[in-house]
Formats: sequence, C-alpha cells, structure tokens
Amino acid sequence: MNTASVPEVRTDKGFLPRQTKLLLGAFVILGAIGFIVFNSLNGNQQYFMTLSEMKAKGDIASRETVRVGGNLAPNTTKIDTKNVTAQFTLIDDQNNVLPVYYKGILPDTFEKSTQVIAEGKVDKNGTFQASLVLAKCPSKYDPSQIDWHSSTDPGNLNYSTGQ
Amino acid sequence: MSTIGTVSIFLALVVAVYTTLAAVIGARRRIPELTASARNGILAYTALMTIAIGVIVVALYTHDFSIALVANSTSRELQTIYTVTALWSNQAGSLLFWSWILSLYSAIVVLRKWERDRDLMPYVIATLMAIQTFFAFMLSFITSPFAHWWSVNGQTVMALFPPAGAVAFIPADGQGLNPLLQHPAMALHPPMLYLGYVGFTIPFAFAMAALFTGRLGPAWLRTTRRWTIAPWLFLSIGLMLGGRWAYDVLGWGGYWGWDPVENAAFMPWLAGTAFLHSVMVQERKGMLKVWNIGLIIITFSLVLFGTFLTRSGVITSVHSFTESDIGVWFLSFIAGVTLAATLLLFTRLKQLRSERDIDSLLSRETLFLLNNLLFVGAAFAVLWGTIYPLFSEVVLGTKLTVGPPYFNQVAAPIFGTILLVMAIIPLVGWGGATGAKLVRKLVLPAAISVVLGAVVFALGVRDLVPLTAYFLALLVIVSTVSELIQGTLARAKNTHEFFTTALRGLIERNRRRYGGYLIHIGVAMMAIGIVGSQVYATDSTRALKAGESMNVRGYTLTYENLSPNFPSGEGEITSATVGVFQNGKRIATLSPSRGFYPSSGETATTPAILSTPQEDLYVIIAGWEDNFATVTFRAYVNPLVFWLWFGGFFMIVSTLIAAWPDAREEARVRVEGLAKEAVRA
Amino acid sequence: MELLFAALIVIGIIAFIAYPLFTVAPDEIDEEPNALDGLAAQRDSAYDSIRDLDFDFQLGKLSPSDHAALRDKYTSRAATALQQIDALGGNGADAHIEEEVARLRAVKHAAPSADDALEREVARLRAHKGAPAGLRCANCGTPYRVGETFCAKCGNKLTT
Repeated sequence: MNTASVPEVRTDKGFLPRQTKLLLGAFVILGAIGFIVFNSLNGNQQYFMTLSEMKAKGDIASRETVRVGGNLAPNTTKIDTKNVTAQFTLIDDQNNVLPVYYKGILPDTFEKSTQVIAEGKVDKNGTFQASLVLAKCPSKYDPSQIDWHSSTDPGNLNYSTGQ
Repeated sequence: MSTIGTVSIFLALVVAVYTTLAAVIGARRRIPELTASARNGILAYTALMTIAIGVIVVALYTHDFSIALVANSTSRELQTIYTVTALWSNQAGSLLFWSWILSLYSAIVVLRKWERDRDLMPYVIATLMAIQTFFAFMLSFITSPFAHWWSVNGQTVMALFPPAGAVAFIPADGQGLNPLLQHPAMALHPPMLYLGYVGFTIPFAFAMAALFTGRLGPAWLRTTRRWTIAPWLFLSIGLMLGGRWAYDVLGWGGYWGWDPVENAAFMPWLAGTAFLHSVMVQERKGMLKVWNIGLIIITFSLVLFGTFLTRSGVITSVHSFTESDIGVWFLSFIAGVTLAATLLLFTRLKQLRSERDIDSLLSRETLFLLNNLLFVGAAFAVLWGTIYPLFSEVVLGTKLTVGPPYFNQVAAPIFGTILLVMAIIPLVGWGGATGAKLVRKLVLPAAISVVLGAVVFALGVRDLVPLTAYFLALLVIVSTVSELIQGTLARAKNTHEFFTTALRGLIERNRRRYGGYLIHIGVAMMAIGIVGSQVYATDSTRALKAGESMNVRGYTLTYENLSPNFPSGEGEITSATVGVFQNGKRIATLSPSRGFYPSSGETATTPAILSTPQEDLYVIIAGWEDNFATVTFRAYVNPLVFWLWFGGFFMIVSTLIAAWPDAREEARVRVEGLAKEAVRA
Repeated sequence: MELLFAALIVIGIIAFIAYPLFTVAPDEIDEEPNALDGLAAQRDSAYDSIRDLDFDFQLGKLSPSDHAALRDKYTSRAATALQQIDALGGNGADAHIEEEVARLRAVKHAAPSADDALEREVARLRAHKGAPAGLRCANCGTPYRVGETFCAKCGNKLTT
C-alpha cells in the first residue's frame, strides 16, 4: 500500500527553486506593467491649467497640447453648423482672455454653461485651437450641483501604427 | 412626512452603532442573547432604511417639492418612472440607495446563513453594521435626503433643520431631470451598478469574519463564491448598460471614454474578476489564501473609492453629478477600512499558510496567479491614470491630466496578455501540464486562428496591434470551443449520450469550469467588437439641404425630410428623415433627432443607428442653420461594434449558467451538515 | 400625526432589538473549528481532482506517467481523509441518515446527470453505521484497499 510516501510529480529543474522562479516571474510581470504605465504617462500627460496659470507659463501652450479651464464669456459663442466649427472666448476673473476655435460639434449644453475646459494648442495668432471641449452647466437653484457635458470628440478616429 | 424619514435615519444610526457593538461583544464574550439581539438589529436597520426609501419615493411620486431632493431632481412634467428613479440622481439619494441595498443584502445573508455559518455570522454582522454606521452618519449629519430649502436673508439654503430666521422655501416646480438621463438604460444602470458595487461588501464582510474567527476553510469559500458571482454579474450588467446608454444617448458614436466615473465602476470589476478566479485555486488546492483576502480587500476599497469618486466630483468628469464636502469624510473612511482590514490580514498571516505548493510552473495554478497579477495590474493602471491629476497637483505642484490615449496604451498590452492566458487555460490542467502536450494541443487552434487571421488581413487589417488583438481573440474562441467539443466527445464516449446531452452534462458536472469557458468566449467576442470600433471607425460630416446626399464608407445618405420642433413631453424634438442607400438600393430610413427641454435648458442629440454584425451606421443631427434651410449631419461607421453588445449578452447568460446552483452539490452540503450533527450528538 | 407614526416606529424597533436580550437563548455557538469540515473538503477536493485528472488524461493533456503519479497522490489523500472521517464518525441519527439517503436518491433521479459521486455518498452513509474505518465497495459494502480496481466480492468497478 502506497500511503506513506507520496511520489513528487516534479522535481525542481534547474538551479533555482520553484518558489524563487515564481517570485522572479511575478516581479517581471509587475515591473513590465509598471514600465508600461510610466511610459504611457510620460507620453500622454498634459498640463491642466487656468488661464492665469497658462499666461504665467509663457508659451507652453504653443509648444505642447494642454488643457485649459476658464469661464465662458457671454455672447461670444459663434457656431458654424455648415462647416461644423465653433468659436468662443474664455475669460477669468483676472481679466485674462483666450479666443478658442474648435473644429467639431460642441456639447449639447454649451451655450448655457459657465465653465469650460478646452484641450489643444495655441496657434501663431494667439487663438487656442481646441481638439476637445468640456462644458460645465450650473443648475438653476443650487450652484453647487453641477452637470458636466462633453463633446468627447476624439477628433482623429483613425488608428495609426507606431504609437 | 419627512419627519418620519429623518427619525428613521437617526434611529438607524443608533441601531447601527448598537448592533456593531452587540455583535462583537456577544461573540467574544459568548453571550448568545447579545448576538441574537444583534441579528435583530441588522434586520431592524433594513426596516428603517426601507421606511426612509419609502418616504422619499412617495415624496417623489407626489411631487413634494418641500423636500430639496425632489425639487432638485424632478419636475411636474417628468415621466413617472424617471420621477421615481431620480432618487439616485443626486448625492443624498444615492447614498441612501447605497445603504438600503446593502441592508437588503445583509438581511438576506442573515436570514439564510444564520444557522449554517453560526460561527462567522456575528462578525459578518459587525463588519456590515460598522460600514452602515458610516453611511447612516453621513445621511444624518452631512448630506440628508430629507433636507429642505430654506429662505433666509435673501438667500436660499439647503439644510435639514431651519437656520435662524429662515422660512421654508417650496418651489412651485422642480428643476427636472437631465434629459440625457431620461432613457430606459439610465433607469436600470445605477441600480445594477449598485447591486454590483454594494454586493461586494458581503464577501468582504465574510472575509473579515473569517479572519477574526480563524475559520478560513471550505465553508467560507463556498459562501464567498456564491456571494461574489452575483455582485460581479450585476456590475457587469451595469457597465454594459452604461456603455450602451452612452452609445445610444450621448451621440458621439462611442461607448466608453475612460471617464473617472466610468473608471470608478471598472476598477472594482477588474479586482473582483481577479478575486473570482483566485478563489477557485483556493477551493481546489488550498493555495493563494493571502492573495484572496488581499484581493477582496482591494476590491472593496475600490468600491468605496469608486463611490467617493462618483459622489464628490473631485476629478473633472463628464458625468459627475454633484460636488460637495463629503469628500473628506469618505476618504478618511476608505483609509480607515483599508488600513484596518490589512492590519487584520497581517495578524492572521500564520493561519493562511498554503496547504500545498505549486507542483509545476506550467499549470493552472500558475496561470491563475498570472491572471491575478494582470488584473490587479490593470486595476492599478486605471487607478493611476484616474487620480493622476490629484496626485500631480498635490505632489508635483502642477496639475497634469491623461486622457484616453494613456488608458488605451496601457490597456492594450495588459488585456492582450489576458487574452493569451484565456486561450491557453483550457489546455492546461491542475497540478501540471506537460510542455510538449500543451504545444501539441495548441497546434490545431493556433493553426485555425492563423488562417482566420489571414482572412482578417486580407480584409484590410494591416496594422500589427489590431491584427494581433484579432488573432488572440480568435485564438481564445477556437481554443475554448475545441476544448468544449473534445470534452463533450470524451464524455459521450463514456456515457454513450447524444452530443447535446453530453454537452449539457459536461457543463453541469463542472459549471465553474465550463460555464467559465463560455464566459471567455463572450469576452473574446467583446474584444473583437472593441478593437474593430476603436481602431477602424470612420466618420463624415456634411451640411445638407433637403434632397442632398452625403457619402460615408459605401453608404449614401440622403436628407429627405425634417419635422422641426415637435412637442414631446416637457420639450420639443426636431427630427430628420434620412434615406440610406447602398449600391444604389435603398436599405433603410433613419430618423436622427435633437430635443430641447426648457425646464432644464438642455439639448439632447439622439442618434439613429443601423446595425449589422459587420458594422453600425450611426447618424446624428449636428445642427442647423438659416431656419432649417441646411441641416448638418454627422455619420459614423463603427465596424464590428455589434459583437461588443452580443458578446456582452453572451457573457451574461454564460454567467448565469456558470453560477446556477448545482443540485448535486446542494445535496452533498446537506449531507455533510447532517454528518456534522451526528458527530456532535 | 407624523410624530405619532415616528414614535411608533421608534418604539417598535427598540422592542424588536431588545426582545432577545430577555428571552433565554438555547443555541450555543460552536467554538472549535470543525475538523469534519476540513476533512470533508479534503476528501471532496481529492475526488474532484481525480475526476479532472482522468478527464484531462483522456483529452491528452497529461502524459501517462504524470497521470499515474498524480492519481496515486490524490487517491491516497482521499483515503487518508476518509479514514480520519470514519475515525471521528459516530453512530447517531440513523433515521436522519436514511432520510437523507432517500432524498439523495430522489435528487439523482431528478437530475440524471448526477453521477457516481452521489452513489459513493450513499454507500458511505450506510457504511457509517457502526462500521470500522476503511474504504468500502459502493455496491456491496465490502472493504477494499487503495489501489484495487475491482471489488473482490461483487466485481463492481471501484471508483475513488
């Protein structure tokens, strides 16, 4: 009867014990994931600034894509539905002004919104060319209850190789 | 009427505190009267929460605008179903809903498991009620669903008790519900999500109880498994409904934006999936015990964190409905729970020793372990991207954000590897697989997948990443289906059953494994849908006069008719009739529309979708000019997105198959219970 | 009026919670971890592993030597668990056991896919009544040793 000693199915092969190999493998995987995260972060992060911060940072917005948030100046929104473009102006309480030009469909509640976030770059003429627009819409009674609506227009929907 | 509600909530807080203490003291000091009282306490909490919910629902239904919640979220013209479901569209209501759902789950657990898991139950109750204490506290003092609007010194203030000199302010009509939320999927999506989220509290409570009592054996495992698959299923349904809603209602042609609120629900799903898989290893081989407790702690922490993210608007988000001061409380609570649970885990590490070592590096166990790492890694990557703005602002001094490009870039390799593991797992057994045997079993599925991949290549997919993704997804399907077929044939050989009977028998004999395989097939289909629609979607935008046409990807769309400002519900809808032609033949008529709702000042763009398994044609009205002389249309073509929805549906049905109670096993458990009685007597 | 309702609710809830404090509670809480629980799980886990092993072998995932070695390992694990269960077992609640056996048979008929594991269970329960420790043939109840494939008495195939 063979109850006393149970034969091991596999003996450790190689010079490392199994447990160590497993731990090593785990570290490799976690390391790989960490590397991917770090890499993607560096390649894709953007400044998220107010108008005054953007001004303070000089010409950062003309060099890289940034996200900027400000208040929508009333009566400055012009929508061209034929060409599907829009223009509006962002202001803040420190009298900074930023004209924005957006190629796409604005979010549904844009004209009623007070705060807007735009993602893009500033062009040579000082106009902010936006590729993404997020609009904040205040509620009638309680300013602390807010709905966000986004155009979430990814713009370029076509994939290209060589990330 | 709100007095009853307020009293119920305050009493619920008292009951929660009492029950937590009674359960713990009763268990430790072995005072059965106290534990029995605690059991009644948790049921009493359920009753009180139900009363509170009832009061709110009645208030909503009767348009009682004296209650701020009702005034803020509904209006007189709102359809009844959306009036009632507005309960969870605001902060206080959603916290109340959270607590109520947890109390329902708790009552069911207590009523069903009191006899069976007598040793664990007091600690389960204590954990659940400690969590409920937090929610009851928030609902009593920080954000009460029964707060009123008061008018004082020319300002309006929302509070539970009137400030000095205030007069009640009762608006004539409410603000109405965001029209984007007036969609059937939106009526169902939050309850499903909550049933999912909140449901994970139960396995968490059982884990804590198991740690407290040291009973980490099979009883805990069996209970945990049942009480994890249900919330996981609901969460999956909730996520799918959310995606479908975004697709149908938000009008941008997509279904997932890596929005913080979306991520808030996705992260617990990822950790929960890891947990679900990992407990299978503990069941079979008594291993990964520490991992499992760790995973459920992570899952529950992510649940709380997700609730916090959604409710506090701390990060800019597309649909964060509210923004207030519950943030600090929530963060402290999350930190406290996670810390306490982890500490408890550490003190019990000795009792969590593996019963067995891993036999071989190429085995089901190692693949499950790899699976754990990948899913947790994915959850971490998503978490990191989501909180990066906060982190960078606090730690680095500048606010930085990442958008979909970051998430897509991290998700692709991780989920691609997960697909690969899904493809191999049916071919590897517990205890070990011979490397040569695995390769031999892999050859046929791989060959078929390569052939299918070549077809995909011929159809125009030339980029490496999508091609690889398609190949892996196809490999999963082929490998899993081949395993199902071979298994059925082998069983039929043993039992001489007809093929379909043998297949059914095969699944019933090991639901977790074969039901799981069916789920994997569903997931692979979803992967195909996601890759197709994310990578190869195209769109076209044109301004058209009546009678003019535009082209997109082989479709010709002709703007035929417009019916402007048609009254509907509380607003007006403008819809267009668009004829769809392919190869000169008319194949469909679509009616995209745009609605305007004066009470909330909102516009909503509703797409018209022509869906085939091959692709979706998705048309919206972008706007109009010159008093409707020209209307601008945008048309998307989303390839293969059908497979995302169908795969999701397939996955959900398969989950039901996998989770269905097993008559055999029920009998076995009952017999064991009796044998235990016999021994004790 | 509202206050009356509220007061009633408060009183009702407090009464409901306080009630068990004043009634004698007969049930005790089991203090020690139940050894039977763990042993039963070990036995079932071993059975499941063997069943899966056989199936995997049939499907060509294991080599013959690996299959034999693993099978031996799990068979002896099952045997050890069974022996320890029997050692702990008492002669009580005969009527209960008969009742459960009948119910098991009913389940088996209702779900034709229920298999020999149930049969094993039934036989074990019967064998429990005052039998010495050891493995028994599912058909006739004759004890046998680990490793034997067919019952010496009735020739039934022995499944472990």
